[in-house]
Amino acid sequence: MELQDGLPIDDVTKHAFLSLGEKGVVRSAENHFCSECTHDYKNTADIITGDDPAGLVGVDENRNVPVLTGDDADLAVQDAAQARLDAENAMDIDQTPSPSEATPVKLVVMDGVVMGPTHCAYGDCTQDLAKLKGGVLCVHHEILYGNLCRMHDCNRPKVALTHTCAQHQHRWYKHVVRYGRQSLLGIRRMVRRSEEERLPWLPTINRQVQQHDAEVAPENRKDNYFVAPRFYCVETICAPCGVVIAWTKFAKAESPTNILHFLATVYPTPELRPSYICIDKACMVLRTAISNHSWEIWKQTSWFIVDSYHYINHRTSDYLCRKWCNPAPLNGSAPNLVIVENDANGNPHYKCAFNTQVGLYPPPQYQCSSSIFNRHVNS
Amino acid sequence: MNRMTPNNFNWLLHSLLFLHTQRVIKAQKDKEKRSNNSNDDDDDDDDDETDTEGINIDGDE
Repeated sequence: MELQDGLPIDDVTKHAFLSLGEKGVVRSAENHFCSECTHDYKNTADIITGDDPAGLVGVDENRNVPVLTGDDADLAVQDAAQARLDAENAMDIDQTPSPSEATPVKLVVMDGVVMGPTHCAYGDCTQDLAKLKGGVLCVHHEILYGNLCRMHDCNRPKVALTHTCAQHQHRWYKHVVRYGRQSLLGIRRMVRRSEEERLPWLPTINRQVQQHDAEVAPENRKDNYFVAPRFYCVETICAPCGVVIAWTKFAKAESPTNILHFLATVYPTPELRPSYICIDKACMVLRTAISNHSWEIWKQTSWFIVDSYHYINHRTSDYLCRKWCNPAPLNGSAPNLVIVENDANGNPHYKCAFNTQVGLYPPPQYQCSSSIFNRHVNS
Repeated sequence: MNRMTPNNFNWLLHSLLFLHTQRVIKAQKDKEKRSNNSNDDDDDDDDDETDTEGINIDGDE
């Protein structure tokens, strides 16, 4: 990489990322495969049982699978009956894999962490701020609107020493009184978290807050430019072994549309796409993909699955999630997601084939293997 | 984070994730190498026994 002489220090990182950043795709992870993230394709399961297809490995071995409630409950019952029938006829199925099916099976995990830098407050602009301290607009919008009132759709000039026109002075003073101390470390993040998580022991917030999964609704937008907004989250695509394949920032929300767009950017051609994509909201992504017809492309190569925690909670209320997003079916209907392991007494049992608990900040040891946890702690 | 521009954030995060990925890939390769070595040692042990037996057999002859 070559940079011009006398380049300002702020532009060095910009040019470095443009030259070497690959738009967030980590090139060293390209074509990576190892025993943790790539398995040989398996056409049929080692053990096919008559369990409910919504049964989950590691959870439902010794108990009845919770039933689906709601309009589609009868469909779930029919699926369970069909699965029992299939299990009885399992020996009649042709077990010879076709050449296309014999390619290795890969899984990737997508997850987001709520964090990010500030960006321009004007419209959908996500450029750098012109001034880091107190600035809310990028260079371009600062030139165009820097001398105007910071209320939306107000074209009157600012009053000296404030950021609003004479008519909106009360809004500016209200803002100064309310947020004057927001530079205290951690306060903003605490407020943000309490708004998004809606913890029962915290006061109820009546005003509209942008939901984590939802598209940005026009009514959720602020009516002023007093504070520079932050990128909402950093989204990563990781392999089960911990290798980071790509990352990006979502400016407004971790919505299914943004996720599908990110996936399409990272995997533009079918041969690059993984067999399974594990997302904590895969059922929402699947629903959106079906409605916007992108599923016609993705269904040829990939399958969206949710993580176990999501599945345990959501399978009782959402038929689409229950039927299509099971991360490790107990009845052997997804032979590439489960492997057979023998316990200390030599008894075979199913085990998840891939580690799906990887991301930017790995949770404690109960959510990932000890080797990956230690690796992150040591890094 | 409050003083970090998007460009600085991009470069910082990309560098960290790149280095992390390099480290994970190296760890996976080391693990695979150790696994292969242990398999080779087992094979060598088997070969040694075979050779020993062969020598013994030759000696007997």
